[in-house]
Amino acid sequence: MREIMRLHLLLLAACLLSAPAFGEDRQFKNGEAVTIQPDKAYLMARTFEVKGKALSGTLRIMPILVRVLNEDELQQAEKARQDDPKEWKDKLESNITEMLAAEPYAQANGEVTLVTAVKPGTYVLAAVAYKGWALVETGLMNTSLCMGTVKFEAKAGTLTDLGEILVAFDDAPTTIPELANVVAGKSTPAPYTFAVAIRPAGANTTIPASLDSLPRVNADYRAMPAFPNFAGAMLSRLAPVPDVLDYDKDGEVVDLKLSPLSAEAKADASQTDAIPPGNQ
Amino acid sequence: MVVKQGIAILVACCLNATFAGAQTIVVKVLERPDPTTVTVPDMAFKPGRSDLRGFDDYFYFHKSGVSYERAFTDMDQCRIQSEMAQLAPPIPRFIPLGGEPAKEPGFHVPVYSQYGVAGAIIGEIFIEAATEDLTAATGRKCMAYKGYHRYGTTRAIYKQIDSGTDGEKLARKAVIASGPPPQAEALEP
Repeated sequence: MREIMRLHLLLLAACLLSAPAFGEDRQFKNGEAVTIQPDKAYLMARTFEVKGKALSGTLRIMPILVRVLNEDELQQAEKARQDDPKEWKDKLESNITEMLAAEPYAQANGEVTLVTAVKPGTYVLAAVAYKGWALVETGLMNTSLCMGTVKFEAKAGTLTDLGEILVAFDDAPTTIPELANVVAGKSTPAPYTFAVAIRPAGANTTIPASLDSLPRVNADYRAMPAFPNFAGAMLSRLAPVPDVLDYDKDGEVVDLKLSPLSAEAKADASQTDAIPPGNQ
Repeated sequence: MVVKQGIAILVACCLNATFAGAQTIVVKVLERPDPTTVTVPDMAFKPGRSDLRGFDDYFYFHKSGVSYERAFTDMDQCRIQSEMAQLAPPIPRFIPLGGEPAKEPGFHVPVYSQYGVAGAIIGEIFIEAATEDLTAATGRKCMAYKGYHRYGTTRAIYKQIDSGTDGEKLARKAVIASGPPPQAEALEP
């Protein structure tokens, strides 16, 4: 039955979706030269192809990043929405970065390296989309990480390495260590969603030789509390990230860099009636 | 539910359904009623075979030690998150992170689609049913993250719980969630 669902999703996407990358983002393809511009930030992420079922073929994963808005931008957005509730988003500068899986910087053995130039700022790993053979130019939203995820700074003139973005279908067991205890591993009422994890860049992370000489930092991930499901996809949350992100027994995000307590200790201290972020 | 969603999406595709033509709607936080004004039905029942089959649709949540106020807030947040979920959403071009929760228009079949008014009506029925299932599934996942357990009930009891305004429904569910622990075993999230 899930194969039917997937086929329908792909058919639908082929019917409805044909949007290119948003805003002024630029995707670097096929190892092309990356010349650092001082007013741009550069992001690099590695994803892995996921084997679909039946006719869906191989799926490529697209991290969806959201640039955090400043107060002026938020007010501008609110005014635009009130003025034109239908078309307001088209009148604003996009703050979404979709790292396009169809245009990889490098690919080998199922690993896909994505490099994208973006506006500098604080970015949230907000969702994951995917691309299959039927999706001509863009991807299809799959999983919203609105119940907890990470954010990072993308500084101008610097290549920020996001490490590896790992996904597995929630309804099947996986051998990915970060997700093995996260996936439901069996049929769920939320079909066809991914469980998502990150493996931050470290000393053993391989860098394409052509990017090795660029000014580069590993993403300094911070925990991001829950936020409204603006992505509109099935909700989920990023798997815990050692020393960065965890969850207490009430599902609240624990910022392990801010408060390196265990999740259990944090849970004991958080029995309040405070309204969770996003509902305030 | 998977089949229903698949059919709805295929119907949407065939009828040239779009996301355009409707406006963004802010999803407001519900006002919390005084729990002393909330009445809940007797939750005791002896499950029959038909009841067991209905537990995907007729259920309630419970969490040991949670207050009514916290349960109401948790459920309201999950309601908002669920209402914002869509069938096969496109990648948005702008997200007002930090702003008010707002839901986007879902699939909409033009009344005068290529299959006429009847086609549009049938399409809307499929889409609405699948969207309801998606909303329920999203809500269940959200509540599981927040540490709530799910318990089955009968259609008759559920209809009593799920009656009245949105605030009254949520208040009743929050009273139950923060009340005496159920005797039954918890279901899968």
